[in-house]
Parts: sequence; C-alpha cells; structure tokens
Amino acid sequence: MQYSMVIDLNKCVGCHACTIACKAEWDVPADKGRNWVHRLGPAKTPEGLASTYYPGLCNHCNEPACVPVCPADPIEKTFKDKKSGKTVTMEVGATYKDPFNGTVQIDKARCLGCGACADACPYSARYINDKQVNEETGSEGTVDKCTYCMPRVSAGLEPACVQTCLAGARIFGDLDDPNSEVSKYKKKGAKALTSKNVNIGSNGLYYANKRDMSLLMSSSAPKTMPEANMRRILMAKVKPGLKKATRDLGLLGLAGAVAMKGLSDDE
Amino acid sequence: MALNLTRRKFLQTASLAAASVPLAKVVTAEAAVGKSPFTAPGSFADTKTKVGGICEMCFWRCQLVGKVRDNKLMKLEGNPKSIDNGSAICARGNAGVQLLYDKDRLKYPMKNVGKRGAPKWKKISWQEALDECGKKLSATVKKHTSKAIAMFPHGASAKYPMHYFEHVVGTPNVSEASFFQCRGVRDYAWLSTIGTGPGEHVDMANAKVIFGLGCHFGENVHVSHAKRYLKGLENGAKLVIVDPRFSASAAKADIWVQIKPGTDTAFMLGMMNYLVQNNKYNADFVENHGVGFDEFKDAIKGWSLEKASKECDVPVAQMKEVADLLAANAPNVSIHPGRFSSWYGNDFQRGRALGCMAGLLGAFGVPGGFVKGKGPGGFGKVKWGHGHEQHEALHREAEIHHQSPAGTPTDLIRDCAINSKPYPIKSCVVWGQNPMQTIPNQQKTIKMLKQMDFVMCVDVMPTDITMYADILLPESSYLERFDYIKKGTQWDFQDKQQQYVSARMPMVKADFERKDQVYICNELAKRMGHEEAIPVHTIEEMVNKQLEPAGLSIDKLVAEDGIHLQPGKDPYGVDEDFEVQFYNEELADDQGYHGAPTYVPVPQPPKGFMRLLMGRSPLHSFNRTQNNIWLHNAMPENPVWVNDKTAKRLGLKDGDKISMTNSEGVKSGTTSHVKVTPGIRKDCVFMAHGYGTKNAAMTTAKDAGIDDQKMITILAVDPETGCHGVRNNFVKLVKA
Amino acid sequence: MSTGQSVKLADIYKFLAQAIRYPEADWFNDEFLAVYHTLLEGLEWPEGAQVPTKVDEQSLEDVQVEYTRLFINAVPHVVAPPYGSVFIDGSLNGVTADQTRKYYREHGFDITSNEFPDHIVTELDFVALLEEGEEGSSEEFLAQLFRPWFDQFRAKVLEESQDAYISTTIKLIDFFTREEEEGD
Repeated sequence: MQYSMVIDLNKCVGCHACTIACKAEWDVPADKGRNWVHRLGPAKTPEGLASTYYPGLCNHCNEPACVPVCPADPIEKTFKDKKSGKTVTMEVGATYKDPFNGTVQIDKARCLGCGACADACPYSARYINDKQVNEETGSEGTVDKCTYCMPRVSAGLEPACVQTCLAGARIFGDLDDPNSEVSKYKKKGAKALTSKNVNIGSNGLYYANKRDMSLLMSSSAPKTMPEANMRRILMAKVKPGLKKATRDLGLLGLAGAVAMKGLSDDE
Repeated sequence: MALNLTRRKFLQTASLAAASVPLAKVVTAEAAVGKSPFTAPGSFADTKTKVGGICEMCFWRCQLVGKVRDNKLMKLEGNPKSIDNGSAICARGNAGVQLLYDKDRLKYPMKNVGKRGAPKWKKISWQEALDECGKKLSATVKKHTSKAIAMFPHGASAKYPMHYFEHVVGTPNVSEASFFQCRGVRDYAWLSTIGTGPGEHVDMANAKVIFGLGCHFGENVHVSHAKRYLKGLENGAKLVIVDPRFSASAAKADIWVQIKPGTDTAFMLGMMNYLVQNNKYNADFVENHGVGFDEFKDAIKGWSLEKASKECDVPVAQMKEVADLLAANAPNVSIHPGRFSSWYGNDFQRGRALGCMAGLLGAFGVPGGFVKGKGPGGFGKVKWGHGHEQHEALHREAEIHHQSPAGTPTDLIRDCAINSKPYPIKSCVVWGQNPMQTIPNQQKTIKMLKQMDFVMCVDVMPTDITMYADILLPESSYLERFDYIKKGTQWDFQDKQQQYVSARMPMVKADFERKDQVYICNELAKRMGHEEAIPVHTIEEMVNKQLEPAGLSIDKLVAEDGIHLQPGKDPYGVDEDFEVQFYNEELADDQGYHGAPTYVPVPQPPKGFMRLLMGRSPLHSFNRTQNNIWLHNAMPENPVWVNDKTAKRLGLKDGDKISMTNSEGVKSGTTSHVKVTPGIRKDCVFMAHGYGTKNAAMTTAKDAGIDDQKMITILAVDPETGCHGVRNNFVKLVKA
Repeated sequence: MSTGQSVKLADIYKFLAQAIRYPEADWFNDEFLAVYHTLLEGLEWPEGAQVPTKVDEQSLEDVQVEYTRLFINAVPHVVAPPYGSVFIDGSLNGVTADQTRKYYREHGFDITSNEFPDHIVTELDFVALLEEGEEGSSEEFLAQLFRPWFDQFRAKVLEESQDAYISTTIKLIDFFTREEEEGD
C-alpha cells in the first residue's frame, strides 16, 4: 500500500481552505504550515498565458531525503499491517517511512528538533514547531509536517484538507491499488514535482492542463537537492558505533542552542 | 526594593505578621480553580460534534458542525448532511474559530466615562447598562417624538431590534447602508428588467456556456456557487470571462476578453446589436416574453461591432466569436449577473444590459440559464406589533432616488440630524453596522454622532463606530447564538429535487457576559414601556415560532443532525407572464432615465496614472476578516498587479516594495509589493480588498499591504440608484 | 526551607490573585489597600508610595477605567488581555489554554469560574493551591506555563499602564513568580 495525494489543478480554485482546515485540525502555529497554496502567474509559458496554484504538502516520498539524515538514536520498531496482520520490525530514527502504508511519519517523543530533516527536504515540507517542546530530549521544538492525516484516516475519516475542499480537487488514496482514483489520475498523466536532480519518488501528484502544468513545473519543481543534505546523509551513514558522535556533530552544525543543552545534559 | 531579596527570604523577614489585618482576610473572591478528579483530555476523536452551525464569515452562510471539547470550539467543518456546501467550507469558514476567540472581542457591557470619539470605558453590569439605554432613549422620544431615534442595523442579529425600532418605537430613520457600495445597483437593474432581484441564480452546473463579466470565482468564493461553476466546467461548459485582468476565472476560461475598464456596457451593446441585426437571438422567447423590443432594437442600432471594438479595445473577431458562441448554445447559457457591482457609476445600465442579453438568448427557466430554485415555504413570522407613532420617511417626502430601496438612505438621516431639519434626531442605536466605514465622509458622520443626546452600540468587535458610543453592549457571535433560518435546495438542479431547512444554533455557549439580540432588545423594550409588545421571550422561542408552521422545531432539527430534508420541486420553466423589459417605459417616461440599456463613458486615467481596480482575495470578506491570524498569515500582503511592459518602463521588478499616490494626491501610507505580470492591461493596476488597515486594534493586520479604500477618494454616483462606483480612481506607484 | 515563616507563600498568591481582579467597591477599599501597603513596606519598595491608601468613588472609577482599557476592551485595541494564549498563540483560548487546563487536571484541579484556564487570576489561584499543598510545588508550573507569557504581558502593561496600583501589582506578581536560583 502506498498512500498518495493527487491535486487536480483544473478544479482547484486556489481558495486556501485546505491550509486553514489543517491549521485547525492539528494546532499548527499561525505562521507555519503543514501545507500551503502558492499562487502562480499569470505568466507566459510555451503553452500560452497561465495562472494556477501550487498546493503543496509532504510528498511521502519513496526515497525520502528526510529519513536517513535523522540523527536520533535508532530503535527497533515493529509495524503491523491492519489488514493482513503481518508485522515488520525495522531500526528507525525519529522519522521513518511506514512499510505498510508508505507514509513518512515523525516520532515526536524522540525528535531532537535539530532540523536536519527539514533542511534535507527539497520540497521544504517540514518546519520546526517551537511550541512542541520535548522534555524527554530537551529539545526546544520538534519537527512537524503533513502526516496524510493518518490519525483521521485510521478513524475512518478523510484527511482534513480533502474533506474541506469545495472543488473536490484533492484526491487521496492508494497508488498500489490500480482501481483507486489516484491510480486512475496517474494513468491519465498526473505528475510529481520532479526534475533532473530531484527524483526521489514523490507520491504527491498534480494533474493540470498543459499550460498550467508547464507553469507549475517551471516554477515549483525543485531543481536541486538541498546542499547541506549530502553532508548529513554521509554523516548519518557512519557506522552505528559512531552514531552518538554523529548526533552531537550534527547538532552542533545545525542548531547551537539545542546542541549546547543536549551536551550539557550528557555531562 | 531591597536588592538581594528573594521571595522566600522575604517570607522569613517580612513584617506582615505584624499587620493588623491578615492577607487572607481581604481576599474575598472564590478561587478560580478548585480540586476536581483528573480527567484526561482526548484527541480530536474525543470531541463532541455540535450540529446546526450556520457560518457568517461571509453572507453565503454555509452549514456547519463544530468539534467541541470542554466547551471550547476546536474546529468547524461543513455539515456532512448539507446538500448545499456539503462537508466543505472555505478558508474563512474554517477560520471562524479565530473570530470566536479574537482577543479584541467585546466581553462585558461598558460605559463611556470619557468623550465620544475619545472613549474611556468602564466595565458595568447589564442592569446598569440597560437602565441607562432605556432611560436615555425614552427621554429622546418624550422630548422629540420617536423619529428622533436613528437606527443603523446590519446582519442577522439586527433584524429583531430593527423591527422593534421601526414598528413599536416607530421611527422611519432606519438605514442599512451596505446597499450603496455592493449589490444594490445590480439588484435594482435586474428588478427593472425581469421584475426580480437576480441573486446569483444561474444554473452554471448545467450550462453550455458560462459568461462572466468581471466574475472572478476562486478569488471570490461562495461554496455552493463555486460548486455550480466547477460542475459546469467539468460538464464541458465553455467559459467566457471578460476582465481587464487574467483573473482566477480567466485562467480557466476558453475565451478571455481583456476589455478596457469601464466599457462593459458598450461591449454588451455591440454583441446584442450583432445578434439582433443578424437574427441570431431567440425570437420566440422575445416574442413571448419581451417588452419594448423594438424600442430597444432601435436604441442600440448604432453599436456596430466595429464601434464597440474601438470603445472596448477588444478585437471585432473576438466579440463576434463570443456572440456566436452564446447564440449557438442558447438558451443554455449562464449570463452571470455578478455580485459586487458598484464599479464605475454607470453600473445600473450594465446590469440592465446583462439582463437583456439573457433575454435575447431566452436564457430563463432552462437548464444552464437563469433559474431560481424552489425552496421550502410555510414558515412563521415573528413580528412586533405596531406602536402608536408612525412617521413618513425623509426620502419619500423629498421624492428622490427612484431606484433606491425602501428604508431611509443613510446620508439623508445624517443631514437631517446635523441640521435639525426638517426635525432633530437625538438618539442613535447602532446594531452590528459600522457607519464610520460604510458611508463616505467620516467627518459628517462624526458630526451627526456628536450632536446626539445618546448613542448606543451593540457589536461583537470594537469597530470604529463603537468609539462614539455612550453605552457599548457585547453581543454573542454567530457561533454562540440561535437565529438565522437557512433554507434552499440542492445546488445542482439536475440532481434529485430536494429542499433543506436549517436554523442557526450555537456551537458553544457565549463566553464572558455576551448576550443575544432578543435578550438585549426585550430588555430595552421593557424599559421603554413596550413590555406588552414583546413577541417572544427568548431567541430559541423566536426560532421555534418561525419553524413551527413548517412542522419543525429546534429539537427536531437537532434530531435530524441540524438539517431537515424534504422532497423538492422542478425549478425549470418560466411563468407565462414573465417579462423581460428590453425597454423600460417607467424608467424613461416617469423617472427620466434611459429606457434601453445605454453606455455612459467613464473618465480615463490622467497621464502618468493607472486605474485602480480592486477585487477579492479568497481569504477575506471585505475588511471583516483582515485581523484573523490564520487568514492573515496565508497571504500577509495584497500584491499590486502591474503589466510587465509598464513595470519595465517604470523600472519595477517583481516583488519590489511600493506605495501609492492617487490623482488627488492621497498617499497610501502603507506599502505592498508588485506582481509583474502580462496578465493585466497597461492602463490599470489591481489589488485585493481587505488590507492595509492603520487601525492599531488590528494588531495582526496593521500596516500589512495597501488599503484600496484609502485610495478611493472619487466616488462615481450611479444616477439611477445613487450607488457609489469605486473604480474611477487613478494611482501612481512609488518605489518604497 | 524554614517552616517557621510567618506568612505562607500560598496566602500571598491568593492575595495577588485578588489584587488583579476587576476592582469592585466590595473589596477594593481602604482596608485592602492598607494590607497592600504592608506588603510593599515589607519589600521596601519606594515606588509603592504612589499607590493610594484611600479609595473614593472617583479613584475607584479611575482604576476601573484603566483596568478595562488594559485588560478587557478598548477602542481601538485592548492593551494586554491577561491570558497566556493571547501572548503565545495570538488569540484567546488557544493551545496554551488547553495545555494549562490539562496541567490543572493532571494535578487534581479544575476550573470553577467562568474564566478561561490561562487567565492571570485563574493561574495565580492555582499556584496558591499548589503551594498550599506542598511548598515549592508551583515552580514547574510557573516556569513552564506562567512565566513564558507573563514576561511579555508584564512588559506591555508596565509600558502602557497609567495607574500606579495596577503597575505595582504587576511588579508584585513578577517578584513572587520570578525564577530564583537554587540555594537562595
């Protein structure tokens, strides 16, 4: 199973309801967002004058750049598939990709708030919520982002942004199911925001006419992977024995104040 | 203080013990917290769902449910049972939670112990506040008769007190000022064309062509209306958008007509004349339902496509393409009447032209055309009885404003009060309206208020007008009270015909000492000697009385999840006696206006200036929402759209910070940034309304973006209605 | 910690909670001010001299007007609504209010008034109750939920207030809730 969100820009009217519903649902600070709507254009494209929107959110990528950079000490976590009852046990940091539903999630209890994952995301889909202080780790904030509303979905509800969309422009479902709406959209030509250098299996897809698609891609598809990211991926791949040192190093390089607190706690 | 003193040291050294009165003795209040068993708060899944919400972030009024925990409203959602908005609500609707808990909201009755305009507020009890209001209003009536009370109501909560002051107290000086700057001109233009106000009753979901003059759906959001529009597009309707700007709707259009601002009526006349001259109109419909067609035909015959093309700066070929497209798909076309229509001061004629175009195409009562849904009926009315005193309204005596609505025009009340001519007006009741911003010329409004013996305001927020109140009363908001009955039909007329009824119910109890309009008004009535006239004793009783004849009640609606559904009626078809007044004799002969739609040219920008166009952002309802912290953060500024070639000439780059000066030398004061785009004409700039407040009360919105209202100093008065066109103002951009 | 102290911190918090309520004639009287001055004298605060020792109708109205302007409503804008959420979340009854209510409940208390949980009076009453139970047990609450907003609130009030009684009361609350180095 791989959850996915398709946004049909032929329907989207750019009303921002999705972003405000998300704020209400998840107590997102007013000046931050788990999702966003950017108005694009009017601008000339090779297909003609275009104006559309970039309603963005976490793409729950197949090869998420945010997951390997997490410096939190890994733990063993057992995932259970609700349907089949199958289990998988993996070693995960504070952010991980769920092996059964394909979503990328954050373990807030273990998040150090260092922001490495936020820096690593080419879509800037993560932010630090400085109101979510983590007393366990001593961090002065934890990372937050779209969860595809998994707590709502588990309760049988639609994601908050999907429910409030007056245009029916947000379609949520399973890409592994060939009969799902999202799969049908993919067959029709819904595309991820990818480029030559950024192609990490985004499961957020956009459907639009030619001129709008042209404008969306040229303005909003990330052109490069964030630079700092490469260094942190390397650091995060250091042997397990060096994990703790890596974490401190990673922290020092990222967020001084948090690191100092973390270090003095260790003394 | 002693420098090294800590509180623990202080406790040991303090001489408090020696005091004659112990601390505890002067503490009289009950502690605000006390022991109780611990209960864990739940997640979103542990909230209770309150049904019966009806939104009022704008006046479309979608149906809501509230997610409530510990009497705190956590979230608003569309009522899933709704056949209107469904589970969807817009950004503003979602942000209603932030209005409910806005820190500036009024909380307690207050008395002004300072001056009007420079108030010093003191929190007082309801008893004291109401006594004072009753005493002062009664004194005015006693001294000057009842017409010496002026009332400025607005919104659902003001209906009940408005009727009290009109009928029981008996003052004709009641005025809803919102008419003059918004939809009034459209309503009266269509009224004199098809005999009814048009609302936005076009069956876009089932149209073959949707024609919008300046309509910018998407930037302007009303949920079920937007659903109709999107369904139409999904069903393959061709979309024609006429706008100087590549708006949200133009971006989805098949044909974008980049018209020169102010020339819309010429555009319509050119197309109508083309259809008439080439026999491409619906002759059967015109034969059966048209009035004055020959006079109309004669009046517009000079409008060749070439002439119109020149006036409107639109190619002949494109005008012909649009006209042919409309004719080929008639009668299943939506000629959208628009909504906000006070544009250039020639707007009554534009409204007439739109109605006549729909008539030429026969686009009434057919799928895709102008169709009014057949909603539920049989509701009760809650009426105040009529009192002894009744007076003639000012404008009826003066015989002016023929196409202006019933009620007394605000400026007449104001002049009457200031001059005490023909009589004095000495008390003022403001209920949910902000006349400081709804009527032009604040100085006159202040003068009117200052000469009053008494001013009282009832509101949810400390708006500008409340600064002039002697007594200020806090009202419960749309999320904390019962009142408005919302009824209608499913939005897609091709779906199963259904009717719905719902009544506004509170999502949470009113915090602090806020009260509803029935309580406040009844208490006033008691103090003014009208206790026997009181029609209902509580707001619930009022709603139940309205619902009862239809076989409903609040309890019944709650049991039906907030919305009652019943079978509906086919909305299509036109009555035999339905008429389209192509030429309106009453307008021409009795009132001295043009009988057929007529184009009146508008002033053009002076050299070096550009016309200022304003429109909507989907995040704001006028200025009402600009301080909402969620909505503000979603779009903190209103970018000023500037044509790319103009920008190059002015040396402006996308994102440059600018301020504005208008042709009368008024400066914007605040700044915004420019959006450089090929999607707007060179002779105009555009920005969204609802930004740039200088009011320090608006802590979130203050100084963010530019206030278009401030730049609008020239009001173009529409001769038929007296409405104020706001787009004849011209600005220069100044790099900041 | 000395157990022989003559005045309990809990009583002081209760007193401060009273002192920052809307001033009404039934308690804001000469007797109250006498006790208030005793407290100021104990602290050796010279600016306490500006706080009146007597109340008459006019001076009561003056402090009511200023209280209303600062804390309840003003046109164009209420100065410093005494709620944590206003300063932390930007609105009334925000997440901070939820967190505060949660804290009360986790410690066996709940709100008995009509006020929001993060109102200054509610919080001071709560602190008094904690201190009544166990001395020093309010430190965590003060640090986590009270001081973060109170610091901003205090700055705003002291900048804007034109009333010596209100300013001094805020300074008193500041003094008695400030984080203190261990060992003092």
